[in-house]
Amino acid sequence: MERQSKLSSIPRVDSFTSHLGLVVMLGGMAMFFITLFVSQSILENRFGVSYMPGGGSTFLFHSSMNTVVLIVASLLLEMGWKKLCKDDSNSAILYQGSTLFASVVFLVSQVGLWNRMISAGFLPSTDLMGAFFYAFTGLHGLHIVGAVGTLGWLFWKMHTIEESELLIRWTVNARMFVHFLTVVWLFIFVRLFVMV
Amino acid sequence: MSTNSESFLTKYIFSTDHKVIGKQFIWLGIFFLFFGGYLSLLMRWQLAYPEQAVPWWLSWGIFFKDAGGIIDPDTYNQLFTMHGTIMIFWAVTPILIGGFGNYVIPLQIGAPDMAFPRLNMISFWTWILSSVVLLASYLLPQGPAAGGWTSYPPLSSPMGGIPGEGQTLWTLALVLMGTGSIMGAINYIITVVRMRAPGMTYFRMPLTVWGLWLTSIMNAVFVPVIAAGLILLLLDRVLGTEFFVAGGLASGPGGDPLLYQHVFWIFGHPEVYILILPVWGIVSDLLAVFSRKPAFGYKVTAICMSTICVLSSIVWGHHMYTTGMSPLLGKAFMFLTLLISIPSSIFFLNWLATLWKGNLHFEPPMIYTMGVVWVFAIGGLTGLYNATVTSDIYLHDTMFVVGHFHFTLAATLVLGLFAAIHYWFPKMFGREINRTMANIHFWVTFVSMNFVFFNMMVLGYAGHHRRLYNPMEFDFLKPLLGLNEWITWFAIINGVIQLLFIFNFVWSMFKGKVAERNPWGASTLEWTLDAPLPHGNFAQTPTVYSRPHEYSHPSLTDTDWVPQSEPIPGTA
Repeated sequence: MERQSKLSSIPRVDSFTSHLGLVVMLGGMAMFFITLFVSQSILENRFGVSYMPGGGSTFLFHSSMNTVVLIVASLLLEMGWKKLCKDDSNSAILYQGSTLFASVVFLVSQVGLWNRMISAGFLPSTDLMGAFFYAFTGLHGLHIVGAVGTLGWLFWKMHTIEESELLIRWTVNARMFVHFLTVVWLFIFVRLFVMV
Repeated sequence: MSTNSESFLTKYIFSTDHKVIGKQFIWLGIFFLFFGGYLSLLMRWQLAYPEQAVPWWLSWGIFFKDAGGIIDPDTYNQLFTMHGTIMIFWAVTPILIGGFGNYVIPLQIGAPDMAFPRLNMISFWTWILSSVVLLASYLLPQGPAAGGWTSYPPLSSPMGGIPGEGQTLWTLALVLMGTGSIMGAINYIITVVRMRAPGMTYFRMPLTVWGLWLTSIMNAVFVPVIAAGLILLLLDRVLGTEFFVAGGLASGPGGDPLLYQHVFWIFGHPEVYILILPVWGIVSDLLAVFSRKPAFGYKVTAICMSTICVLSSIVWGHHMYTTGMSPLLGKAFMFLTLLISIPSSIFFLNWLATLWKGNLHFEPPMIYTMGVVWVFAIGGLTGLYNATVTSDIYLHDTMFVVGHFHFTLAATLVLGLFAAIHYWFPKMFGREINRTMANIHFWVTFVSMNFVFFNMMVLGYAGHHRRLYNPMEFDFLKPLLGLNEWITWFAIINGVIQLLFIFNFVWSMFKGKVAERNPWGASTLEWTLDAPLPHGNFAQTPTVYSRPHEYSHPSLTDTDWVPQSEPIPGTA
């Protein structure tokens, strides 16, 4: 029997399989963040809640704006996907690009928030709140960097390939990933900035 | 199928073929199996001949030169830490899950490859990266991690912990390894769910696939938990946070080292099953093949394995009875842990029932499989003492625990992976492994490992604590020196005989007798293919008509088996 060697010679998995793979991955990520949330609750329960400089209110506006930016990114991606389904690729590209831009804005703004926090003397080693603040926002930020990479790649693919079925599949995956990160951020935002 | 010219790089290094990746994992695991095993021999030397120079044939004349050939306490700590870490995460896991998971799953379910071949390749290379990080810790001035394979804070903490950055690299390596592990798990889960051949229902899957699939589900659920814990530990070490730093060591109110223990064991106990489930599956299948009978209670065995997965996720507290846990909680964990013995006993009895009145063929894979049945029985039964609060309070942290988990994990897993290697060797390399050498290897390995691990339990029952640098510092342990010496020599015999295995493995790859397509008369799908198997596996997707163990069916006349891809005569 002859050897079949190229990856392309192996049948490509269908869209549902691809999405299912992502769902399993997101499940794993959910476990990861749940462990962090539970750890924070346990330690707070044990040692009492510590607060950010100024009781958190100083940075509430900044982080609220970040939250809005991320929600907008999610919404833009959703709209882009709808356009793609309607074969309106020009609008889809526009929305896709806007999502990418919003995600980058979120990251830059997060770096700004870190900068302000550090200037205020609020460091990872300050107390448990500091430790969890940087752990949560840093780890979430790393995932957002992954999302930006994915969105950038997708944006490039939208310009280079015609196969709409593949584009829709990838967009659905990117959509799930970005929405997931938005939901995780909402939890982080509530836990770090609102509940205290 | 098309012929494509492939470069060496894409064919053997950055391959996306699940079979090549499987073999890559096996080679990686074998390397670490020897490395981790070697560390254990050094450790055993120190226990048998405390503070005496390691002989040249064991130190190869290059190690411990500065200390006059003597293993110092810090090095001893590093030895047991790296032995445990390497054997669990870089030896057994790559071989059983990475190696055989990759090689066997698509073949046994009739799939052309894994669902995500590129992810599969990335998984392997992430593993390689983690290996490099782990081994790089040996180059640090203060050496690798030394806080035990569990790396509990404060031992692993920057404040009050063991000095050096080895622990930091250890933590990073584990996070990377976990990432690779999750990638593999996603692939296995989705491949089984979505890529089974027509007719391959869940209850027609070989139990090997069941074991690997359940393992993957557990990996996907629990590895992220330890990843979170390890990242918090990493932040403690790198950024000066105090998640796990408590008391006087903390600059403020601090955190809680016990939290790490909880997080560790929420993953750590399922990890035992993550490792052992593939072996249970392999043993269940191989007993049927070499007894020439259908696996007794096939469906029940699969259900029992699934039940154990669920139960294993709620029993982590039995590792922590001595942490000041409330007695009520201890009882709850004890009850839940003992519950696991019910499904375990059921499928164990299924194994025995499969053997009962079978036409037993003692081929090399079968003798290793029988070895697993024995050592798993010992490991399982001795686990009851650790699961019970009252006896565990006495036995906790003694060599009894070491003996127990070496029966359960080391002996069971190593014999299981030897069974798997000997069973699938003809399919992997197109040649038969030498039976005489395999038989010698089995008996010497089996006898020596039983001696070593059983007597570790004897030591523990006599009060010998684990992780002691020099037991001779305690009067009550002095009478046990002779036993420690015996254990060490049997461990050395065990180590040396593995050289025969590696010789047989390599020799048979090139010089072994050319294997038939189906030398064992097995009915699972991989045996319908000629070696070497092409990328893409099946020229035509097979259709499955029966369960994986249709042996000695009354309607069969010429042979006593029928492949899953053919209807059983008279039943179509």
